[in-house]
Amino acid sequence: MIAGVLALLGLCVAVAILARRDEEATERLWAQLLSPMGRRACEALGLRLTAQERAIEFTRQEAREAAKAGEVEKAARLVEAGRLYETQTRLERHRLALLQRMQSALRRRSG
Amino acid sequence: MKPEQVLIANLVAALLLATLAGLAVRGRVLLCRSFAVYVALALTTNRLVTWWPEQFYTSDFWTFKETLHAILMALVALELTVVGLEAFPRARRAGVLALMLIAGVTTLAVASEPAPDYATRVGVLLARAQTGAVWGFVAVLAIASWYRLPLHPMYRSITLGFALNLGVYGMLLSAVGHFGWSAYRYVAALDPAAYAATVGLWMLAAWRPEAAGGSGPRRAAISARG
Repeated sequence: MIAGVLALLGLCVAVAILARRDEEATERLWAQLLSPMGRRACEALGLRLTAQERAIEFTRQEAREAAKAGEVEKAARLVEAGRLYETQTRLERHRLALLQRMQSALRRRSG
Repeated sequence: MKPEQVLIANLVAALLLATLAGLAVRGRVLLCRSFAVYVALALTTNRLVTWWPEQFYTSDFWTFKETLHAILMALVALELTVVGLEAFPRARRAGVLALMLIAGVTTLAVASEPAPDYATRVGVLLARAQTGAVWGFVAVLAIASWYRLPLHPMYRSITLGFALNLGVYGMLLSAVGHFGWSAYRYVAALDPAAYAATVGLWMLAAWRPEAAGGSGPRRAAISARG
């Protein structure tokens, strides 16, 4: 009976995957990614996010040092600033991860 | 064969023939050659059983037919991965690996169970093989979705059709394995309907006109890689 349940589960997963797919959006995204302008935009997004990650890390370090120095209010403010920054860039990070994954599908070797 | 079985078999045969014609007329045979072979084989076995039931409406022929179908379904999943994802080498490699893993697990699951009688062959072994086949198609879909790869509408219909048919069929066969032959009447009642719906879906997909600019990213990806 386990085989039957797994078969039915497979059917549900297949239907769920197909229902979530948006072929037009996928084609638009690929067209964008494969155009020279799209590639440059992707690289620019990567650079911007790297800079933002450094800024977030900087606020964390500063917050740790402020906490060590006993400046609790400053540390809390820095932690909050870092958290806010992270939240604001979350969507962009997801988008970059997706674009990088799509680009990786074209690679011949892993890595 | 009962008259209602003949009626359903004739309906399925007409749909299979219309699917083959659609694939040929719309030039979609080359999209997935093993699928065209599967449809042709399903039509042939359907006609053999309907026209010469004395020779072909037997448990031995049924087992032979189901084994052939299972092999062809595995080939369809492999072709969808190898040909459908040809512009995306890494995704294609992941797909082939996933299919090999699923084939290995399925073979082990089938080989680990002795099949002393026909009921075990149908209710346990075949149900496990069908389940493996469903997950093969799910793996192809999951990889295409993970890498956000475009899928030709025909590929989507083929995978949905097989998932629908194998999911229902696997569940029903498993019920026979669990509850015995008393559950077979549910297989006899539900499976032909599920299969007719599946073939109807394929027929519509085979005849659907090509959308303008279809499969563009695949072509673009090939040219981008040079």
